[in-house]
Amino acid sequence: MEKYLMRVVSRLKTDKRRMVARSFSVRSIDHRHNQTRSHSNAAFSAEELSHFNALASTWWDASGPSRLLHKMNPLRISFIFDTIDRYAIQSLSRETGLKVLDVGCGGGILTESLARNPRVSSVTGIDMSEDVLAIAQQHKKQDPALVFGGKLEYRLCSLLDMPVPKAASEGHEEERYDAVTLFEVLEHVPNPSGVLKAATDRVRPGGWIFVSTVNRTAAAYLTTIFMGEKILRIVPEGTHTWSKYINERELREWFNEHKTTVPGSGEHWDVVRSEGCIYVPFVGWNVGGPRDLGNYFLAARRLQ
Amino acid sequence: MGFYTRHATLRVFVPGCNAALYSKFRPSSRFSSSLASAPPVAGETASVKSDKASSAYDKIASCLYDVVVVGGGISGLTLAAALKSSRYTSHLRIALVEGMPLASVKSWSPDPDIYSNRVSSITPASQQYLSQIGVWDHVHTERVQAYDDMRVWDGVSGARIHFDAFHLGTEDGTLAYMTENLNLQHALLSRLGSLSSDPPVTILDNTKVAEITNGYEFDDVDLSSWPTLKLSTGDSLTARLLIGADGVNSPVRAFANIESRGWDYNQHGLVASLEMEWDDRQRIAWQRFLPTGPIALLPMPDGKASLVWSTTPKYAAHLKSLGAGAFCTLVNAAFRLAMVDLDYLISRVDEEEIKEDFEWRDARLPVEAEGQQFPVRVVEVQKGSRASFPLRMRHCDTYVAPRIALVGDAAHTTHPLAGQGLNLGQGDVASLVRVLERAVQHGSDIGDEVVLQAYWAERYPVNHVMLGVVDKLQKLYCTDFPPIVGLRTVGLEVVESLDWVKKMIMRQAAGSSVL
Repeated sequence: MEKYLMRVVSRLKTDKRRMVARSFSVRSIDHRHNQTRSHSNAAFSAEELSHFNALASTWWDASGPSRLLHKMNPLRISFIFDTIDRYAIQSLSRETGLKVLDVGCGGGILTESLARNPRVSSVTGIDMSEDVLAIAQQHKKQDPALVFGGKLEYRLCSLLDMPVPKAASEGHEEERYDAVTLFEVLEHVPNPSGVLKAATDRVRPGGWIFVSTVNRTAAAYLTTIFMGEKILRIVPEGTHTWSKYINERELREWFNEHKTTVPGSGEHWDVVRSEGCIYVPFVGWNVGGPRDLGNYFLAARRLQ
Repeated sequence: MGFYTRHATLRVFVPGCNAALYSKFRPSSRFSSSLASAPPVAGETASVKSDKASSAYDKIASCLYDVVVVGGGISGLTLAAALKSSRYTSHLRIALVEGMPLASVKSWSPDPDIYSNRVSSITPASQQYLSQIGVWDHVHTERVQAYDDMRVWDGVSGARIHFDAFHLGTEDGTLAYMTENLNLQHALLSRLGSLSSDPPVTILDNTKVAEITNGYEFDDVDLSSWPTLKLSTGDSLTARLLIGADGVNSPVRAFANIESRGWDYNQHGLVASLEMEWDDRQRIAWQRFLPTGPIALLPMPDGKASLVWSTTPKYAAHLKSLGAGAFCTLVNAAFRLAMVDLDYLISRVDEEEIKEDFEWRDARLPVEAEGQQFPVRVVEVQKGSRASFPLRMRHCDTYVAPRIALVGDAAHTTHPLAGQGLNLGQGDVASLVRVLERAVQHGSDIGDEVVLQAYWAERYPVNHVMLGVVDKLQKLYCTDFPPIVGLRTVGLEVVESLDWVKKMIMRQAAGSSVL
């Protein structure tokens, strides 16, 4: 791990100070998490917030800046439900009647499709950008099935502000979520470990965390920032910050080591699946490429 | 359910809305009568109003549909039947609006001696699709004629090309099936009637679309992006997804402001149902390219045939006005004589004179021409079966807009010389249904433009190539300018001698790459 981090750090000489602060070791992230817990708005920086506020009005424009996100959405949904179909533990996981928390829901692209899925019984979408969330609310009104379906709810808050739901106990129902989704979120927050930790606290045993983010590699810089934002301009400039990208291996390690951070709780996470995901211009998104190169999806399952 | 109380003032909307993508949230029995509205009986001007509609709210709720199809032709009906036959989309609430009455189509009981003049060539790919969605079982197969041989030749140079089952390599060697459009429409309506899907398709026939507007906004719901149709019956429908299967002058396309480009061929397609001298039991489609346009004779069962004669509007009008005997003679002449002889015969009016002159000229055909095969002579034209319509090429810039998709002739119109019109429409339907199935599985809004764009992206290039090839063929053969005739003759002879090229052409025409 040390050696690996050194390599990462040396690769990032130009942005050394920032990079060291972001190096994704469990200990240092947890340390940062403790610092930021008291003022939870730090879960999202001011620049990020203003960037996404500016994108709000075009969020649902099929040919607008969020086009790639729209096109990625079916892949996310397939990833979620294929994973549940393949890896659900019968005695522990629920396969229908799912209660989902969509963190960083944005304009509600994923949130709405989750709410339309007959296997989902309720979805809560949370986001910290007021403008973007207003768009989500407004867009929801365009589908009476969502308005009257009663399954979809939005909240303007950070994950850290969400009350931690209670575990099932005698006479009480399980309040925790069957799944927490963090799609294209971790690369935008300053304390990914804190966000992940907060997500794990809200998942019931047998439940899931679904993550998508980007590897911090030269290839990812070239594709997502250089080509995507600067040359082809298919992604709004300023959407991505390379130094905030998280390697698949780092995320995997975080989940593997997480079980030891809460001794005695019996909590244990199992990364069941991760898949690379690449956008090919004129072709579309493809799942199944190398998972340590660019964008990737990852699914972790909570065991007892 | 919790939302009843939370939205107490609007709960009357629940039925229509919930009928949407959630079967799970089907409302309580109190509302289900308006949801599971009366079964769609063709001929019934039946209505979206429920008997229990007691308030204005109830009425609006029952007007919400997931899919509204405008046009009860083959494309529109196929789309409705396909959506209802798919396990992913059968729960959708679908309405179909058709301007003509459909009762007579539904109760069609054909006379074995009479064939409608509106026929289509169905490729094996389209036939397979119709089987797959359960429609083919309802087709009167005794009125379908398969053919496994196609003879096409140049009316100026006499160069010939011959396609047969060998070039296609399909199981039974069928190149295509000829059938009356009515037969298919009847089968589609029967299929829709036999489906037990809930809710059934609401068929509003004998109903015209008076106006299409954007929807409305009220309280918690914003339907301003949902197209709303005002019908001639006074009812109105609001659609999550509006399908334009409404033909070449599509009102849906006009509403969506989609540009349709192309040109008129300055030709009319003259169709007629014919009786041959005898049933030669051969399954051959004949087509001869004359400088005025191609003439095609397509086999129908029991020694009958269907004519599609593309020619100048003047000739078309004249041919329609002629007596039956003279008309049949001219059809025979058009397959056998040179253009100069045909021009002369068409300039005559007296039936006896035309007949005599034809026999005289036919007897003087060069010996080698006799060696070439011609179709059996035509002896009778079914009364009232002659009709003509202008031929044109049209292609829309796009087939989709937010909450709108065009299929079939509304999206593209082609010259009938390749018998592809109906098949391109079937390909559209198959593609759109696949796209909508995926959208439902992914929880997307089926009216979302991003969803619909996948349909356009898949179909536009395929249709564009087919329209282009047909258009070039039409232009190539509509001349008797010697250098062009020379070139096309060499080209045809080269293709004729290369089996693999023929094979490739046949595969394309049979639709193996279309569906």
